[in-house]
Amino acid sequence: MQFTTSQMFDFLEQQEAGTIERHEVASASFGALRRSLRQIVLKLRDSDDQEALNASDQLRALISEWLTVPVSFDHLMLDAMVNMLGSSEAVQTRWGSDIRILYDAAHRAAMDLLSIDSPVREKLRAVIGELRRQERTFKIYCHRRARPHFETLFSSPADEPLPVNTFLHSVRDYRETGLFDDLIKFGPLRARGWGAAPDALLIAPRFNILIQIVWSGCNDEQDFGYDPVSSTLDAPPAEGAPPTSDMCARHGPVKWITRVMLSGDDPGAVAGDSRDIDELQVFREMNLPRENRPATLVQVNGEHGILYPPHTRILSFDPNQAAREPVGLRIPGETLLEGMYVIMPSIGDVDLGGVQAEHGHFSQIWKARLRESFSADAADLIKRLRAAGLNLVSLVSAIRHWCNAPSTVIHAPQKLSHFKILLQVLGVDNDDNSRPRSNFPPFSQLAWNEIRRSRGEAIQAGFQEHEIIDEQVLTILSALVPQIRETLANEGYFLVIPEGYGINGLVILFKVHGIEEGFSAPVTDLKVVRELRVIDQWRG
Amino acid sequence: MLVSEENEAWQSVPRWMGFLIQMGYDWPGSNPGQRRIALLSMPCDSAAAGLIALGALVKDFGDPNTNNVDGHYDALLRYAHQYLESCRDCDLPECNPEVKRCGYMVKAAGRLRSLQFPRKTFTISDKTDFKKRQIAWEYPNPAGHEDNVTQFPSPTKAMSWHIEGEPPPQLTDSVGALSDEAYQQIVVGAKIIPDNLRKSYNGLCLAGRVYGETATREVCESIRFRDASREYFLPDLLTIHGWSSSNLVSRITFFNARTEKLDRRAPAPSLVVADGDTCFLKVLGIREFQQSDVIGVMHRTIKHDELEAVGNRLIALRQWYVEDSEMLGCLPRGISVLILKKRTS
Repeated sequence: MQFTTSQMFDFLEQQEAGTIERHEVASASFGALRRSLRQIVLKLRDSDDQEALNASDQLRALISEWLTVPVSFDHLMLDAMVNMLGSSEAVQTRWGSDIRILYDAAHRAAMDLLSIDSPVREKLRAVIGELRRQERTFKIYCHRRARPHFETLFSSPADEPLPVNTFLHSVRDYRETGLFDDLIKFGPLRARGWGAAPDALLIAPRFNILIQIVWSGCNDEQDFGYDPVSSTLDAPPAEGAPPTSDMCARHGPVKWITRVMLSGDDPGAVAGDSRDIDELQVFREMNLPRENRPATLVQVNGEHGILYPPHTRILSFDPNQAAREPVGLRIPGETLLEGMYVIMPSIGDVDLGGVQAEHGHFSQIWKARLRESFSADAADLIKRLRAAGLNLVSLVSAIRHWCNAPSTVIHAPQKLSHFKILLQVLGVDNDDNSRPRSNFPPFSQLAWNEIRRSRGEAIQAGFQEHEIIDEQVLTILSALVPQIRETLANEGYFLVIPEGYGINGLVILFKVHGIEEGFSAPVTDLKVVRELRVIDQWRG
Repeated sequence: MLVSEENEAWQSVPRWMGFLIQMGYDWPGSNPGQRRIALLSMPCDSAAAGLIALGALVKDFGDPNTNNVDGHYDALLRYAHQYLESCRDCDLPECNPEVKRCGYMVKAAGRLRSLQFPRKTFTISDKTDFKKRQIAWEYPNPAGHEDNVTQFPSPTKAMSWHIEGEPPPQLTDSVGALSDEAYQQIVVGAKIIPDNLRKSYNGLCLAGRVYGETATREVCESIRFRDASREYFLPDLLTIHGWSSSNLVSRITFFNARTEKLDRRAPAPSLVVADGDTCFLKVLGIREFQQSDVIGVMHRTIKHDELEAVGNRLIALRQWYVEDSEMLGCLPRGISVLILKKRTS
């Protein structure tokens, strides 16, 4: 600590109240970008598809960073988005047209940003320039990784760089610094998560003015500046209201006057979406446990229906003779339509490991091809994998890892979809001569089973089970389309899976009578047949 | 009285220091069933806990009952009993009451000292008769004989002996007694009973930082007082045993929050002043302090989780305590205080 306690008290005595200069900056293009991406995050979040959930999490982190770090408007923003979600077409294929529309809007907005400077960076430059001109002592509180984004504000040869001791990165840094004039903080005041800062900024200030620069709509956490003593008093001081111009608030024993300055304009780019929604707040609430989840109803007769989480890809049958792939995984309302059939497997003992592959049998084949392709032209392989939708951030190191010979486990992509892309790009999906019988699942399934066995996963457990069973049933039913048609022609509604497919059981066919969105149901009541009068209670 | 902080220039006692000392001084005497718990939050790290303890110490000088004299002989008997019945024959290589499950807090080595014989060590003797409440100790025969000399002191005589490593209960005369000069100037008008200046007292406790005793001592060392004749370091004024070679008596016990041990065998103190948020939380959980008043001092430049941990503890306390801030005057800007009093119904 670079001052005595008496000096600290003298400093506090000298000012009746501290000042928060809050600069709220708006930008139409950036607003459109963050709103579009936020909606994608929320929509994918309601899915039960692991890939969608992963994409939602990654996008959430991306937006959070942009809102709490003064990033430049450059191609890195666009690249980050594209690397996460892939092409527009891939987005539509995976998650439907509503997500694609949002993604396209985000893409356009990100393109627009390339032609302008970030207004928050301009504001920061102006603020720091003015402080320097007035010869005021100032510090910047930011995450250690955010520091380069501040340093690049003054990176041209004519600029005076920001000294290292300007930056504070932790409560300890703050505790040990001396008294100074102004503290610069980019982003809202939050105690945890992205852009977090110590409560001490407000309850134990070492400065006169807090200069806060935020994107419009980003509110401070209501309980930021928590003093356990003041908060436990019988009549806690009023606080928590969103800041308004010249509003006075008490944080612990310290009083603050907030002056809000608005700049820029953001008319709102997405219809029906308020421009003032606070993404960081929304994301925080997303982490809270939810009792109910949004759901889409697939009505299967006059009295029954099935609720599915949004963006669920449902195993289904299209009776249209012209359909190219009658059996497939379809999204309700997008590709699963009235007149089609929902297929519900009723599986007994699943023999996903029934193929008598020795440990590493199939992996030797695809790994050899992978090593060969990677050593021949690594760049080309990566390019083809990315184009096909395998958008892992560290793809190069991942490929190197997958090239390793099997040990106790077979090193391979974590997801079946990624694995399928890999095999497809390598061209080993359908040309394996070692397949013992023609009606056996394709190479990708067999190889994936082998990987799963090596990982010791429980076949009948959890989330992945359903995906795997659906995938395997899909493969089997694709070979049984004539039998399905025959069953339906005879007004039957189930089909027993013949022996020899590694699965014992039957599939039930429910004709889709209608599809309706806007339900919110308990997780335990999703993906099961329920009476419509029961389902009605979960209408949103 | 002038004060200097971290070797800065001498100045009158600043308002924040005066407030803390006065708060310790004004703290109500303990009242069974009316336990009080207070927490002060400070804008920065400071010697606030030491200053509150100093005020409370000055207050105790004015109370004729604040000494260890009355229970001293009983304390020696308890010590002798622990030594003879348990510790002497303990088979553990190092004292560990938790492993041994002996029920004691610290080891009794069976050794006593006397200020009258500073170079001699006296050992509790087997001849101690607990039924007759007669303690016996022995020491090497000065004539060089093999047999030790055994003594059977009366309670009055035993007053000049104390457990090794602990302060004596009282000095036989005023030589080595505390000086009241500084205390009289720190709390102007304070009543000080001269007899208390040569008696130790266990009823006030300073609980140190969790980083260890040195951390609390160092922050206290940053504060010096000065009157016309001399300077006084805060650690000396606190009279914690071992903090100053010039103090023979000690009127504040020290609880090491890191080791969770008190610096002496003592009954529950009336008041514990806890230095730091973690120490405060620890003290509230210590069995021996469950009836003691507690004043905790923390600073607010800590992590949010740590602030919340303290806040949650205070909220939990509110179930059994009500706010009692009557004694508080006008607070210096930057300090917040909560005082809780146990509900009576």
